[in-house]
Amino acid sequence: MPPLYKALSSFLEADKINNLKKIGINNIIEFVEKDPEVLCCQSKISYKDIVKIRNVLLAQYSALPQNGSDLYETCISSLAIFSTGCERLDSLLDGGIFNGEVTEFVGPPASGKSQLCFSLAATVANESQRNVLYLDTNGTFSAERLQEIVSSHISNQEHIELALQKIYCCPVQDIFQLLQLLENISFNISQQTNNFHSELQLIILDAVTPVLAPHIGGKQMDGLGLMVRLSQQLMFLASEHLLTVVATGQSTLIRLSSMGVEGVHHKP
Amino acid sequence: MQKEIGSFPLAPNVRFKLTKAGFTTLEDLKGITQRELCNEANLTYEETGEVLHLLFKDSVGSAGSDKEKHEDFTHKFYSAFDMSKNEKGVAAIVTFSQKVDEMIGGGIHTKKITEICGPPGIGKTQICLQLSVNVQIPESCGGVGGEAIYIDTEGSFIVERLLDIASATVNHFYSGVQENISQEEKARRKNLILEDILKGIHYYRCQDYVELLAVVNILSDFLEQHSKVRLVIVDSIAFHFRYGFDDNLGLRTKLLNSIGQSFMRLATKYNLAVVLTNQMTTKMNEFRGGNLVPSLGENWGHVCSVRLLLLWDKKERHVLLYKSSWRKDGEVPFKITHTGIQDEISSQGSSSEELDRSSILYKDLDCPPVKRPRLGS
Repeated sequence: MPPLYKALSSFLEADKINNLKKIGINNIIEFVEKDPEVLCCQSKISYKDIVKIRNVLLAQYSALPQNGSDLYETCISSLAIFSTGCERLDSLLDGGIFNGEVTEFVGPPASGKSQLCFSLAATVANESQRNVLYLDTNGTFSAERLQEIVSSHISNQEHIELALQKIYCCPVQDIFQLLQLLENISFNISQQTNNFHSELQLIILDAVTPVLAPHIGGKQMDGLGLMVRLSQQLMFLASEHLLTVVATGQSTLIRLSSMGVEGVHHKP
Repeated sequence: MQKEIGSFPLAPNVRFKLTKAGFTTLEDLKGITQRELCNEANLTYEETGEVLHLLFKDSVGSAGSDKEKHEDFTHKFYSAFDMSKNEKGVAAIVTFSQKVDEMIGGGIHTKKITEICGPPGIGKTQICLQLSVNVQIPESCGGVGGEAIYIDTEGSFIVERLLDIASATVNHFYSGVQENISQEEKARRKNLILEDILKGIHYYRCQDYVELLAVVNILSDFLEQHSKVRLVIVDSIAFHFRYGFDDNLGLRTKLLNSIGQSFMRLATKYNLAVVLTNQMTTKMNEFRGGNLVPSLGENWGHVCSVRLLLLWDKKERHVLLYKSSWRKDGEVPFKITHTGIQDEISSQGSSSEELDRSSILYKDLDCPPVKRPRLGS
C-alpha cells in the first residue's frame, strides 16, 4: 500500500501528512481503516476534510464488485477454445485449450511439449487469424518446423505465409526481462497502442524452468517470490485480457519408497 | 496493472527496505528525489542513486517517452515468416560425416545449445576437435567462416591431434585448387592456412567448477572483442559437476541452469553455436540391472536444445538424435580416422539439395586408417 502523498488528494497538505504520521497513520489502508470521527479527534484535521480525502482514496483504490449473472454472460460470450491438433487430446480437454486460463504442459525431455506448442500456435494463427507470441527460453523455436506444421493444414502458399506472419518469437533468457516484457504487453493491450497487441490471442512460454531455476535452491528465498510473481502476471494476462496462456514446464525425477518398494515418478 | 518493484533486478535487502517503507510499484517512486528516498527507506545515498537509475533508466524526459519505452519491446519480436527466410540462408557447422549432418539438419546450428553425450572413448573430444576446425571453413567453400572457443575441463585436448585434423582439412580443400605453383610454395601456403586455423581456436583450461563459472562470466567481454567467434565448445560440462555435490544437489541444479541460461543468452546475442559434451551414468532399473543415460540428471536434459547420443553398436560408432525440436529422430553410423570424422561407408556424392556445398565438403575423404607412429621409435 503506498504511503500518503501530497499528490493523492488536493486536501492532503504537508502539515496534515505530518499530523497523521504522528499518530501512526502512514499509508492508505491505515487511513481508511480508522473511523473518521476518531481520526478527526486524534489528528486535529477537520471532519469534512477527512471525509473528502477518504472518498477520493476509496474511489481510486478499491475494487468494484460485479453481478454474478453479468459475469456469467461475459464468460460465455468471450469463451474461445483452440484445438491442440490431436483429436483425442482435445476430447480429453473438453474441446481444447481455453482462453482466460493458464495451461501448463509438463514432461521429461524430448517428450513433445514444444511440438504441441507449435501445433497450437498453428491452429490459432490459421483458424482464428489472431497473433501468437512465442517466448523462447531455451532455443526450441524453429521457423522451419512451424512452416512444416502449418503447411500440413493449408495448401495455399499465400495463406501459409499469412499464418506465419502472425506468429512472433521473442528470445528471453532472464526472469526480470520476462517480467518486464509481460508487464509491457499488459500495458500495451490496455492502451490499444498497436495492431500486434490488439490482435494478440495466444502467449506461449517455453519453458518456465530455465528462467526460474537459477534463482531457486540457494540461500536466498527470492526465487519463490519471483515464481509467484510470474504466475500472477500470466494469470492476469489470461483473465483480464482474455488471452490464452500456455506454459511449458520441465519435470524432474523423485523417488518414492514405501515398505521397501522403490518407484520412480516424474514430478513437475 | 502497475509495474512492480519486484520485477527489477534489485538486491534483496534494498527491495526489502523499499517494500517496508511502502513503495511497491514504479508509480510510487515517480518524482521522488534521492534525498526523500534516503529518509523514507533508510538507504544510503549511493543505493538510492542506483535504484532510481535502474528503475527509470528507460524513461528519459517527459511522459510521452513512456509510450516509446513500452513500444520498444515489439521491435524484438520476430515473425516466424521473417525467421524462416533468415534460417534458410544460415550455414551450419558441418561434422564431415554427411549422414550425421543430414540427420541433424545440415550441421550444428547457431543460436542453439547442442549436447553430445557418450560413453568414454567413443569420440566426443574427436568430434569437438573436428568442429573447432570446421567452423573456420570460409564462407566461399560453404562454411561458417568463424573462430572457436574451446573450454577444456578434462584435459583431453591434444594439440598434435588437432594438427592432424586441421592439416587433413586443409589438404582436402586445397587439393581442389589448380595452380601452377611449385610444391614448396603449396606447402608454404598450406602451413600459413594451418597457422591461421590454430590461431582461430581460443583455448581455456578449467580446473574446477568455479573456474568454469568465471570463464562463462567473462565470455561476453571476450566476445565483444572477438566478433568472429561462432562456436563455443565445453568439453566436458559434466566433469566438475558429478562429484562434490552429494549433499547439495540443489546448488548443482541452480549452477547448471544458470550456466545454461548464460550460454543461451550469449548464443542468441552473438549468433554462436554452443556445443557441450556430457558423460554417461547408469540408471538402475527395477527389473534388469541398469542402462546408460546421460549424466547430470533429468533437469540438465531440458537445458540443451539438441541432444546427440553416441553409442556402440557391435563394433560401429553410432549417433542417435535424441532431442531436436525440428528434426525427426534417427540413428546413423560414423567413424573416426586419422583425418577426423567421416561417414562409415565412403560417401558416393550427395543426394541432398545443397549441391554446391556438398560437392566441395563431402568429396571422398577416405584414407587408410593409420595410427600415429610412436615418437622415438
